[in-house]
Amino acid sequence: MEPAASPFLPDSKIQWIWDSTSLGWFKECPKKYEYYMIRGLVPKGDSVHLKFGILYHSSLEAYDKARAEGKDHEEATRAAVWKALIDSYGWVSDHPAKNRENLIRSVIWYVEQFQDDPAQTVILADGKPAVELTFKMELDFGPSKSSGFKVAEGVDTKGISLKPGAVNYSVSTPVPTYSNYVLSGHIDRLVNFMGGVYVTDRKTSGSTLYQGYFDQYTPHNQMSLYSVAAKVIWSTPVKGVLIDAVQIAVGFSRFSRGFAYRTDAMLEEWLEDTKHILRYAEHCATDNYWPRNDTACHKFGGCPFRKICSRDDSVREVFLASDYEHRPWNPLQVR
Amino acid sequence: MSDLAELFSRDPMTYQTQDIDTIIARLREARANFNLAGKTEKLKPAAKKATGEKVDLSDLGLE
Repeated sequence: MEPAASPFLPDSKIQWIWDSTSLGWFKECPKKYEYYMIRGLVPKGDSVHLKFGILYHSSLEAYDKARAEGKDHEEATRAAVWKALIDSYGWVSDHPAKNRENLIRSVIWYVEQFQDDPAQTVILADGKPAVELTFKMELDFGPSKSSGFKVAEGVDTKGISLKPGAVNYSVSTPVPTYSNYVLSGHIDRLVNFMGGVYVTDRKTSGSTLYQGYFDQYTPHNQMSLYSVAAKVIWSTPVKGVLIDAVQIAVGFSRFSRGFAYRTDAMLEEWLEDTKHILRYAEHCATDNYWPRNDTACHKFGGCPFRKICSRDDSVREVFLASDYEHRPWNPLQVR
Repeated sequence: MSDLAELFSRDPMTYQTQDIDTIIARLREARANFNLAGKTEKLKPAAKKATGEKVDLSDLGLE
């Protein structure tokens, strides 16, 4: 695979293209963002959840694509299982639940559960099914002039319009680089459901899907980004995100469906918040200083860098070298 | 080794279509069994609560 371009402006730590992952890190804690994104560090042996999630997503995408192409449930199931088997071959997981066998089981049980899904794939204006939608969305602002980078002239600075027909980019349109910030991501599918259009997303969990599980997705960085992208790029007035969650246990997979609703006003707020967040990120990059949010260390499942921040600066690099590895995250990298 | 375990251990590039169908069939069966176990659990009569009354040993023929 060809290496992706850098997500940072040349000779700087100012990130110009952001996805929900990197934006989420910065929102949680700038110091966490620095470790993950600027230094490209992850805890050793940390990849099982990410790997399982990517494999699960890509396998079910294969099912969605096959159904959108007119294949029946049986053919689409074979396509999904084949993809899961090929992509996971050779993967050895020491996690008791998130392993290859349970991946295949979860894919099959999911498509069986939803084979007569009332959520139907949207057909876009160009006649193509709304599946596997990768996007890059240029915002109307970029790094400030005080940081030494020039904002492109002639750019409409009145803000992104959420009205149909607003000019924004799908992945096939060249995006001007270095002028404005870009938000990127990948949407599994757009669906019609109960009179509304929704973005869909699938989540995997090792825990029981308790009542209230879906509350965590409003407000939520990723769900808001996807909703904005669907409205702006595909001119689709979505009501929010339809989330299919799965509990991956040792002997079973259990599914639950919920929603993260978004109004236009909520999305306008999220965009305005994002503008301020990116200004702050630029400030940290320009100063090369990333403050700790020491109220977040035990949240979000516990920060994987807490044991670094809880040590004296004189020994941090020793522990980083022994307990972490270099695996940079790049929003431009196709997964 | 079960047929499922044997299939998982092989390189999927060596599979025939029948092998994939076997995997799908076995895991569908597992799902059906799991769902049935869940329904059976719900149908079990609730255990009678102890009333707290003392047992009369003469009723048990022990006196």
